[in-house]
Amino acid sequence: MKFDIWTFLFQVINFLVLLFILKRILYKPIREIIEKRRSLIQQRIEEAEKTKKEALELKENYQHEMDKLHELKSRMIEKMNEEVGQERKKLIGRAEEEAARVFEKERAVFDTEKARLEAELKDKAIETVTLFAANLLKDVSDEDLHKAIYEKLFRELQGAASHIPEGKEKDRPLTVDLITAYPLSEAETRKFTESIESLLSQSVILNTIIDKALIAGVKMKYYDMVYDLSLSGQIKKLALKLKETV
Amino acid sequence: MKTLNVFPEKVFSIGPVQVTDTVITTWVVMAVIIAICALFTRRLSIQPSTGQEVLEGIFEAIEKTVKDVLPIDPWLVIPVLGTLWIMIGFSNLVGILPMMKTPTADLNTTFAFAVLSYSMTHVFGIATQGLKGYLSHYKEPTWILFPFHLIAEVTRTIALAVRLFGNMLSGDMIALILLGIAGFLVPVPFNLLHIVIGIIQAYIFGVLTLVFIAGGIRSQS
Repeated sequence: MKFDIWTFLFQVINFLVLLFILKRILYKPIREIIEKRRSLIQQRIEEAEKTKKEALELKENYQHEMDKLHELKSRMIEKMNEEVGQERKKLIGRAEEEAARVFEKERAVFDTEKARLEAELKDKAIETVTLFAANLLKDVSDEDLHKAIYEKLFRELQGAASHIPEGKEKDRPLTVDLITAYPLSEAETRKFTESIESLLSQSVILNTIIDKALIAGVKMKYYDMVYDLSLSGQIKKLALKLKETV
Repeated sequence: MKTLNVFPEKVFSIGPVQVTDTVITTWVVMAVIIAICALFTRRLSIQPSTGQEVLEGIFEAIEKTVKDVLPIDPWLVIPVLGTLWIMIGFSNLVGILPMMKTPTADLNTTFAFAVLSYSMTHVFGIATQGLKGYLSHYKEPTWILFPFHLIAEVTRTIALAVRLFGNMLSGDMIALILLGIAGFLVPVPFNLLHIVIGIIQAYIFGVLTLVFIAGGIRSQS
């Protein structure tokens, strides 16, 4: 085999021609498409990273908002608890006041009722005692006792002459009611009238009334003065005394 | 016995210019390569078809290989390397077809490729470092070694050419001899082996060119 310059040159030219053609129809388009895809991929990666970044930012913002909301919630709960506590205290205070007021009222009502019942009981007791005394005295009293009491009145009338007020209209006769449990004799009535007249230095019209309710003794009434020496009067006095003391 | 000749023969001549069957086969190979490339790159899109995926995968592999070796934009070297690979690969394989000769079994062809490879080494070396910078590596480490640098340049180019030529010619000759002495089907396994050898030799040629270019670019550093 010998060296052939023409074949050598042809092959060199062939290579260069093929290089030129392939550069146009193969390498250039392939390179372009590869680079285009790479740039597209790069772009997609950048977009994905951007989206990821945005998502992260959104997540962060969301977290931040959630934290704020939690904080607000806990603050509101705290405030609400405080308000509820205050309101509860207020309500409890008011309820206690109301309860105290109701208690006081009920207590006052109870006290009043108690006092009323006690008074009623006392009255009943006094009434019973009075009735018992009156019945007892009714059984034991008689005209002698009556006389004795009358005598006592007569004596006391003499002793207490200075206490008897003088009549204002001396020229007119004074009407004196003498209420008695047993009828008085004519002499007794006259003696009594004279005594009164001498005491008052005034003429007297004696009006004698017989009242069995007095049990024994007499009761004298003129002007607005009552001088009671009857047993029923004494019992009434005793009842009054009991009411005042018991 | 004309068709059994493994050596190049003159087909026609235009004046002093002689056109051998090697050159004509190379034109056929070129036409086939251009047709296939045109077919593959006709409808390139962002959403790739299966064929486009394979093509892009091959080019991305080439790009990665070049990027690992060279410190420059890989797409400056890829067209040269790619064309060498494609042209030598197709030339190596075309010989197994009936009535076709292997262009790389012609020393003129392999020598042309080796000279182109050698030239590319200098072109890229000068382009990246400047003429002075590139030439200065010949005096490294001392001027005394300058002749050895020259011998290395020549011998490696010759070695490149002869390696490819020898492998391809031997494959053709073995097939031819076996066909002559053993019969019709016996050369088939050897032809299959020839396919493997053809692809490997194309790859070796391209990788060596890449290594030489890398050596030329990095000689200064």
